[in-house]
Amino acid sequence: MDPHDPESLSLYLDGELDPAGRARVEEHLASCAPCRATLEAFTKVRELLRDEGGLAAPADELAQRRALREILRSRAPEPLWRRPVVLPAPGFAALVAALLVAFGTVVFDRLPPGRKLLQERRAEETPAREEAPALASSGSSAGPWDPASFDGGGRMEVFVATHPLAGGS
Amino acid sequence: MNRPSWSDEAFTLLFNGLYPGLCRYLERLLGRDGAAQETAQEALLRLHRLGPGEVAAGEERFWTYRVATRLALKELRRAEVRRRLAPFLPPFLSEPREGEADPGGRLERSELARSLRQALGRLPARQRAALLLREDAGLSYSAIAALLEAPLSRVKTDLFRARRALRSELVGSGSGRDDRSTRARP
Repeated sequence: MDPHDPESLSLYLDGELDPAGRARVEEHLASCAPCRATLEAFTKVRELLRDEGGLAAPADELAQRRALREILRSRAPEPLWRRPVVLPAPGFAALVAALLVAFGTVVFDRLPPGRKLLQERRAEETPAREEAPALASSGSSAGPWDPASFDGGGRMEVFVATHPLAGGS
Repeated sequence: MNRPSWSDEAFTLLFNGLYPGLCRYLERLLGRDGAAQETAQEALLRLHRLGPGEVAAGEERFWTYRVATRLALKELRRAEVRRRLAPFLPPFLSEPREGEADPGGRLERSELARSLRQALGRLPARQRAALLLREDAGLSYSAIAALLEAPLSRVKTDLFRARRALRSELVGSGSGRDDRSTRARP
């Protein structure tokens, strides 16, 4: 290390040099006035920084006590799964309603197809029966019949009848 | 599993030992009182939440200074961004926050204190942090390097440059000798 290097003076001031380096700097300082002046200036800067009367503000004891009190009263944030959920009443009601609708939709979708269609057909039963006689009149069996019927187990029976086209050759 | 928590007595003892010095260090690093107290409180709050077993015994001071320094450097970076954006922002957004500018603050009770504060404020944040960690907190070079997550050589250079800048502003150039190796490096 160059003893004339001011950086080594900074290290010397902080006691960060090994004994050999320290000896070299001290030997150099004995014969180099500019380096002595630099070291003196660095020491002066240190004194300024450490001078309690020059810069240090008096401890704000009130703020200190308040900070300590706030820290001691503070609690670590709860994990997400342990935090209470707060919902306003209308929001909660809307959430329950949405859940019920979603539940009903899922249950309806999971009904066996036959039951579902039967339920739908029952709802539309009357108009369907009214259309049936037109077909029944062309069939071989007497009385109304359904072109398709369902049993409760989800099976579907389809009756297909062929008719000659009117006016065909 | 619950962490062990500090007893109020143990933490109070630790807090009272750390808070004044930490505030003083942060006031100089940040250049304003309010933010220093907030930052010190935040660092100590984090220490409190960690519990007594999470930081090695005797390392609490180093740990707290490290957290506080990181928070302060982050705040200084934010302040720098705000300062650069200020000309492009409407006045109500670019005005300093409470306590940011401290023209009549208690730090400036003397001409020398003001000069020192201004000179410190002109140092790059990392140099200022390194210098204050050395002079205020009394940390060793290796501890400063670990705290700032910088190589030891960088810490040596930062400390030297900070002293040289303060010497120029406060003490005068002194020797007049050209510090050939001390010119600011890019």
